[in-house]
Amino acid sequence: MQRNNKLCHQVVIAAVVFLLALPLVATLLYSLSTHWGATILPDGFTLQWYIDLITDPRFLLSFLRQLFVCVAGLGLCIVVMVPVIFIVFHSLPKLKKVFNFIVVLPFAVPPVVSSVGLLQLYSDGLLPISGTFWILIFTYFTIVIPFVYRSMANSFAAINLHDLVDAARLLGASTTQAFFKCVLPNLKKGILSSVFISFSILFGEFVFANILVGSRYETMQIYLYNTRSVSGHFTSALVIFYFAFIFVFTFLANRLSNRK
Amino acid sequence: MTKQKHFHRYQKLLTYGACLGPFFVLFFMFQLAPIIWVVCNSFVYEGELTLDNYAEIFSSPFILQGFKNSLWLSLLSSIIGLAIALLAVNSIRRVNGRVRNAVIAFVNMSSNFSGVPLAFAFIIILGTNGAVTLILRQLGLIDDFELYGKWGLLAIYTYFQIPLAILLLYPAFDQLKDEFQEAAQLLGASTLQYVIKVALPLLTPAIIGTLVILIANAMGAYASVYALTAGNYNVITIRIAALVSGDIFLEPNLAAAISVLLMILMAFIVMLNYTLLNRSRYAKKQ
Amino acid sequence: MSSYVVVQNLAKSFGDTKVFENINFVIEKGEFITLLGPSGCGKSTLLRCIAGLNSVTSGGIMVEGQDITDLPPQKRGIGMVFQSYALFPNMTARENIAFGLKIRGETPDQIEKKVKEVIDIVELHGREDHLIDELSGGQRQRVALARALVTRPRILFLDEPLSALDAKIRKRLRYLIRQVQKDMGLTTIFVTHDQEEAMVMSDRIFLMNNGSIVQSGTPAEVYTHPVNEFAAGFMGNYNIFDERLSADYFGLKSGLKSAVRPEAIFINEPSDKVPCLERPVPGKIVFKQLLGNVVRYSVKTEGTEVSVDLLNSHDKVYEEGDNVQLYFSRDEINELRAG
Repeated sequence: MQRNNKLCHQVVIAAVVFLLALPLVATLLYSLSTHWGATILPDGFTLQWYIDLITDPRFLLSFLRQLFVCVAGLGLCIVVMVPVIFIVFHSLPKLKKVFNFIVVLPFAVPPVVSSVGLLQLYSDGLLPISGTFWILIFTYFTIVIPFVYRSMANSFAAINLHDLVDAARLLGASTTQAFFKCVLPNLKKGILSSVFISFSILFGEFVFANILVGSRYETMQIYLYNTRSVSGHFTSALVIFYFAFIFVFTFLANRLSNRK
Repeated sequence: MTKQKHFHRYQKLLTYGACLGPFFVLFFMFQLAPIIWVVCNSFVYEGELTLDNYAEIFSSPFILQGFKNSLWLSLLSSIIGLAIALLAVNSIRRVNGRVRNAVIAFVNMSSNFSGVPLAFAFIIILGTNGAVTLILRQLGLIDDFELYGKWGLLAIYTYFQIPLAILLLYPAFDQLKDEFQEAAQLLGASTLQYVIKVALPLLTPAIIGTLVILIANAMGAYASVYALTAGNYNVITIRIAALVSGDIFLEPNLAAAISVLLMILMAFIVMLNYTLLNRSRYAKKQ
Repeated sequence: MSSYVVVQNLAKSFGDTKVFENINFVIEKGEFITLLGPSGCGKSTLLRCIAGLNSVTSGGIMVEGQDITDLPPQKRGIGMVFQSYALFPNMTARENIAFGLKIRGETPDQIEKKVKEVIDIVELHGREDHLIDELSGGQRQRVALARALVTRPRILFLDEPLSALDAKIRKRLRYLIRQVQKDMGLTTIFVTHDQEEAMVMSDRIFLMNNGSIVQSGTPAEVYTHPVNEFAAGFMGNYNIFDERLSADYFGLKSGLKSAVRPEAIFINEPSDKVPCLERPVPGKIVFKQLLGNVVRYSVKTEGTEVSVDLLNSHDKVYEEGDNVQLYFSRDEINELRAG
């Protein structure tokens, strides 16, 4: 009976993995096939679509644009958040409650809703940045706040912050020195894992990019959408490229969080 | 002495300001301000303070249909996704460590497969000439699968809910210790009795919490519908986006009013979750 | 055949690893038996096999003349207290206790009465409507005990039930468990790695090592007459003498090692109560420790270092550096089986 049970569990897992992998595998096959019409399996295989992809300057540009806004938004978030979290954990623990609220806000408010307000606030007036990459950098900053806060807060909770700072100060360091020399190096892992998670999320971002900027600053997600009518095979190659990219990042994040 | 103390205090406040200031300014400008704008302007119609926007929503069958479609898709995909995830997590918990870690890593990865790329993958397998469509048609299970209608959307919604639900439920199964089942067994309980009287009550808070997140996730989903149907299927996020960035009728204040209703709806679902949880003393303590 | 529990040739292995083998014992009705041994000796697995939570590889288990080897755990009539208690956190103490009765389909009146009775027995008044999270370790232990007792099992199993508690509560609960067991005449198998606990509580101890029972007997037998080096080392602070010293000091001709308890050795004058070997062994005190009611001396003799425990009475006190003569109680020199 126990053996039966085990087999049953393996079947369930296999089924779910199959279900989740199916679209991905199909896309991969499609991107590698010469033609896949009204048959169950493709006619022949080729790398042509990938060659087309990497030789398309529009693709390369969109990829670089996406990379740029993601790096800028995420970098901004980390630079701004690190001192904030340090102050919150070291001197103002009461603010933790505020942050617990801040961290759920982006989940409670769908991006579409935010973008309604963003579009009106930044289309004209003092800061007319709608339609440019600036607005994307700032909204991407808000998207990754919860992830950056969570993983950094976890690493702060794991070290004995007060003892560490006190020890450094008794040895003659100022609080600022203590922060840069003793605290920050201990957070490297937390920051790094939040970077990988945030990056894979930002790389798949479409809502803000589409509503706030659209084709005026064509990121990879927008480019992907715009090429939908070109060729299914070409688009598939693009999807696989994107996913491989994401895969590397989630893999690295996983490796980091598993290595305790 | 006092002067120095004052100076120290001043310096301390300055440090706090320098560290916290940039964050709160940016957070206000790009997260809070847009929400405030949305709430305020939902009550403004042609420069006047009024409820006209809301009145328009309730008299527009088109917008109401958007709400209805969104709710239908969200509830159904959340429940199906949750059920599949429960089965999956239960099984994942019973296999050995290496398989478990591999499966969880895979699920983690596939949780990133959503939005526009996912929509394209679905077109490839479930489109008119998609491989799965062909297989199902040859097996005589379907006549023709309408990917671009509500069943296609339900499929894609369910697909992106499953990994999320698995990742959310997985840690909750930690509380089900093997000894619980053994203890129940020694006290005479069958597996079914154990599941009903011990396992499910223990998991209930996590199940309801997960369900709420899934519903919120689906209600706010935009990219996959937009990419799959080019904005032609009427869900509420598509309606909102069309009113602010469409080509013809731009009515941002109406979009704001719809947004407010959407947020109220989601708050209502969260409240419902709390009421459900409060009925059990155990869950309240979690 | 009249014995209450009979275990015959029981063996268990996981794949190629043997957990235990060749386990044979009988238990009489109402006995309190302790499976004692270091962690990893197979005692917990043996208990789980008898309870039916693990399957056995070979051998048989009989209770009241009925073969239960292949019965599912529900049908064995066994109550068990787990090391982690395994109390259901979604239920109150009372609901936990009532669980087994409810499953059996007893009437609410019966359940109420039995639960009240058992709450009296384990002295859990005033806490019965609290959730498990709200109870202290000792209280949880009482709930777990009550839950196992309320269904009136044929055998009660206790798997290291006291190991998670602090010393004071542990001592009180030892007493409670033993008292309840005696009052109810309940056949009990207790698993522990704590030899003191085993000595205090048991009618008989089964000392286990490496998957087999090394020695069994009353606590006094097992403590005073260990059969091999492992038993001597596990049960007390025995002094072990190798083959040569055993022959030199005690005149043993068997060519075996021997073991002597520290409290069966006397300094400078033989005991007037127990017969001692005539020839003393000379030595020098190198270390002295005050353990409270006992003073422990380390005495260096030619060949080894011997621990000697003397009662902490004021008339006989020795100091480090003193040259002394050691007298050994004749009946307490245990020849040890090889292995």
